[in-house]
Amino acid sequence: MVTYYGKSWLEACRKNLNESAEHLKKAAKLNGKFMFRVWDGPDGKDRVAVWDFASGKCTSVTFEAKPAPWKELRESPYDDSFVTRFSCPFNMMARLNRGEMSPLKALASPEYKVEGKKTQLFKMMPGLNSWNEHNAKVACDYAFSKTDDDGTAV
Amino acid sequence: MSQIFRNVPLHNMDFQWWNPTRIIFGNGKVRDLADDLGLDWQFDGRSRACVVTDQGVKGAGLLDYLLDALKGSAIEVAAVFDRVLEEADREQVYEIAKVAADAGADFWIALGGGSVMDACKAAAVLESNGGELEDYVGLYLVPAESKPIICIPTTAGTGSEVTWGAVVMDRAQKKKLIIGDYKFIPKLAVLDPELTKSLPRHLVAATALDALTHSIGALASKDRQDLSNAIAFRAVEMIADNIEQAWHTNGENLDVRSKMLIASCMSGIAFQTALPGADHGIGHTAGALHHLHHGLAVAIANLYVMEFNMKEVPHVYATVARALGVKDDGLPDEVLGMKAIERLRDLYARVGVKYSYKDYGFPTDESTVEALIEQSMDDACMAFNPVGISRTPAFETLVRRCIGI
Repeated sequence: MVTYYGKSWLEACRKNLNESAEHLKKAAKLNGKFMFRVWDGPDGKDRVAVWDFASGKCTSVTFEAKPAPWKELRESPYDDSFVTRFSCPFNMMARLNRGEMSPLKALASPEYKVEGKKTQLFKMMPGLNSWNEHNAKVACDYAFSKTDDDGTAV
Repeated sequence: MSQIFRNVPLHNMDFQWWNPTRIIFGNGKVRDLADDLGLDWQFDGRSRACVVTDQGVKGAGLLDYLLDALKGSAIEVAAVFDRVLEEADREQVYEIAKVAADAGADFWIALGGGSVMDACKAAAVLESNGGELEDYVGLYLVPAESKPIICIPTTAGTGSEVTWGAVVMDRAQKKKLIIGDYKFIPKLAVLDPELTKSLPRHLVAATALDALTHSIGALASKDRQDLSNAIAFRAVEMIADNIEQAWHTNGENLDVRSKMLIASCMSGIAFQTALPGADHGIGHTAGALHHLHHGLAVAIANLYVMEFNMKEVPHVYATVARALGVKDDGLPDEVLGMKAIERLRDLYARVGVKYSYKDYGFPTDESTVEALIEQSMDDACMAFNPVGISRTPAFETLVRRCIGI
């Protein structure tokens, strides 16, 4: 099973999204780059992933992880080449993906940060919802303690 | 000297301002509605109205006032739904959508307060899109634009006549369904103060405090910006200056009722681009868990939410204090902010409004308290509170204070 928020999970999500006619229909207006910064994984690492979309299709997704706290990542300013930058702890991201926490609760929480072009983001809401729903369907392992450079449990 | 946020950095670097609703104001404007519609390109080719209202409005003779105004005009009233509940629920929304579809209506007229206008908006979404109401709960999830909506408010509170939101009750789930999208924002708002003359005193208070809370919430919102700040500030001033007289004069003073109607519309404009926060999050949930008027629920919560947020936005609440008529005297923002809360308490007392949910029969058992804490964190407004909301002792205390325990 792939490791949650590791490279293999991101690739599995990308494949799942791009093969879903339902997603491509719902997410026709989902465009641009989105950054996710995920703090304090169970492997002691901070993660960053950049998802790139064109008309709902995920054209690329990149991944990098370094021991937490990854100072440069945590202190880097928002770059407006991204539609939005989301930042939150790994545990919260995992709870969201498992459906244990509602996105509204996360958005209200001081631990979940959204920066960027919110007005664009809101208009892409059907696509964002579809993206999240599809990611949640990819079976993955959340309980791991040690990972390689690709974020895969070892 | 500016009264609003002097010398503070621009708070919001990414916002949009979209207020497409045409607003007409004046005594007797409803009588001119048919003529006005004939000149409005947004209604070209449309002639069959579905009128949505409630029994209170009907009983006050306001439905007849509208129907008489349309009689003999090019507008045909294809259907009337006159049974919207004090808090419209999802079942009614389906019923209204069906009534309109069966009658072949091609535009909507909502005549009433917030419940009527929101029920009409939600029905318009359903009628144009089909499916289930839950498909559209959230922000920007409505696929097709609804048929045009005209809102004629008969209360001075909700501001729904100019907003892109609709809130209806799901009684089975004991929660409020919130739909937000520009695809059903009213095309026309008719502010005719004649229609608010018959508003009973207790509703004058509850709806005015709803509007006041909208504006204070907009000023403090995480999404606040100077377009909404300016409008909200003036709305707070107008409500503070006129609420007591509106409450006392029982509709005889049309000038006062007019100002309240305009101020509530301004509050709607302000909060639809700078959504209020925990006051509405808690208020929505309290109203869903127990029969509690929306205006009272949010206004009571606001007293404690302002204290909860004070450390984060003292300059905002100092601004509110000035708008409420508190003397500045060079006091620090936080002191002024606390004086704003004192002034609000005084204002509430003067119009017969109490300070806790318990005073209105809200249950104080632990399971209800727990439900209010947990469910309110799931309300869409919480994300706009200037202080982040999560389950902390401070947040639990805030909710308990709203209840009065």
